[in-house]
Amino acid sequence: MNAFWLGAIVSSILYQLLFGNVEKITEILFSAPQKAADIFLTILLSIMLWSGFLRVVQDSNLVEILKKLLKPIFEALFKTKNERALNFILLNVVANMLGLGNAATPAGILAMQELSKEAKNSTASDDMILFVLINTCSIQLIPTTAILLRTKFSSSAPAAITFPTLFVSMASLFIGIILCKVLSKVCKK
Amino acid sequence: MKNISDYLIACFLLLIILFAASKRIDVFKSFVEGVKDGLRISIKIFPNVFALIVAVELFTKTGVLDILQKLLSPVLSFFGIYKEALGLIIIKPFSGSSSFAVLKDIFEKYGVDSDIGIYSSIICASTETLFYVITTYLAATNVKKTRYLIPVAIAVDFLVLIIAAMIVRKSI
Repeated sequence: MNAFWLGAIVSSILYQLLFGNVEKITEILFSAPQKAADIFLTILLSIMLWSGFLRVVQDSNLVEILKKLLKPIFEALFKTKNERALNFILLNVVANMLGLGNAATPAGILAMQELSKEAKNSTASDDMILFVLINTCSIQLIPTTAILLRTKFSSSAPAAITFPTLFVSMASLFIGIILCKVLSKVCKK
Repeated sequence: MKNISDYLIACFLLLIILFAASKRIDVFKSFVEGVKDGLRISIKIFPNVFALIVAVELFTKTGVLDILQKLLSPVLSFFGIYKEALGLIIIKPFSGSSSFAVLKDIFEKYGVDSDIGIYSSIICASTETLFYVITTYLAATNVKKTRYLIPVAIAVDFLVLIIAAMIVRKSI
């Protein structure tokens, strides 16, 4: 992350210093925090709302029913024996598949916090890496936002992308999991 | 067309509230406890999200992104990826809302049912805001060394671009 951050900042400033106008940098530095604040407020409120519902799910043991169905898959993929971590992983994956991104984030973050209790010397564990990777593969049964946008642009077949999208993300998830499993053996901590 | 996810959200909420009520737990108290957790999490991840947004703003608004697009387009053509979708490919890992703005531009420029329009829709739906997800998820922990996470995530993202292009070109 450090390299990406440095690269973005340094290249932007150098480019404007050499070829553009330096005022642009000042201008962005004044507008960016405002933008960050707007985004943060949206995230903050949505995380608070969904964490609330998530807690209700936890306290009512609703997750136990889901777990019976999907537990074998998750136990095969993850090494952790931490029940709370497995519950949050489960909620995160289900919410992501249903396209409820706002509900998935708090569950995902809580899962990471549980998993990080097993991590040594501030190094990401295999489980943590696998879990983040599953999240970046974005498995959605129905890509609602893209379909909605296609409908607005009066596409002749807005939902035609559903199957290709599912196929592509399943393929990438599958290959991603294999890569993670292989690399976790190759790159020992 | 009514949005299916709206129905899902409504049914999902009804289900969890009714289930919790049937278990005779104090639903209000549970919800408030959860909101407190949410507040704690948000405050913990904010500095990292803030840093990411500032960098992305500088990167896109100074025009460095445009240069990167020019540099990368031969590489993309080599792998059969539509180079017209490059703006989307670069923005998507950082910001979900900006990527939908770019998708709109592509629809306006090339048409929603053109190969490029379909290709862009597929990759917009099947890739994630990779750096954003990594930043927010790791910010909640004390992890500093991410080992093979970022290389694998980028490799998988790139794979999506290639597979999707093969599907649109009907070469699978």
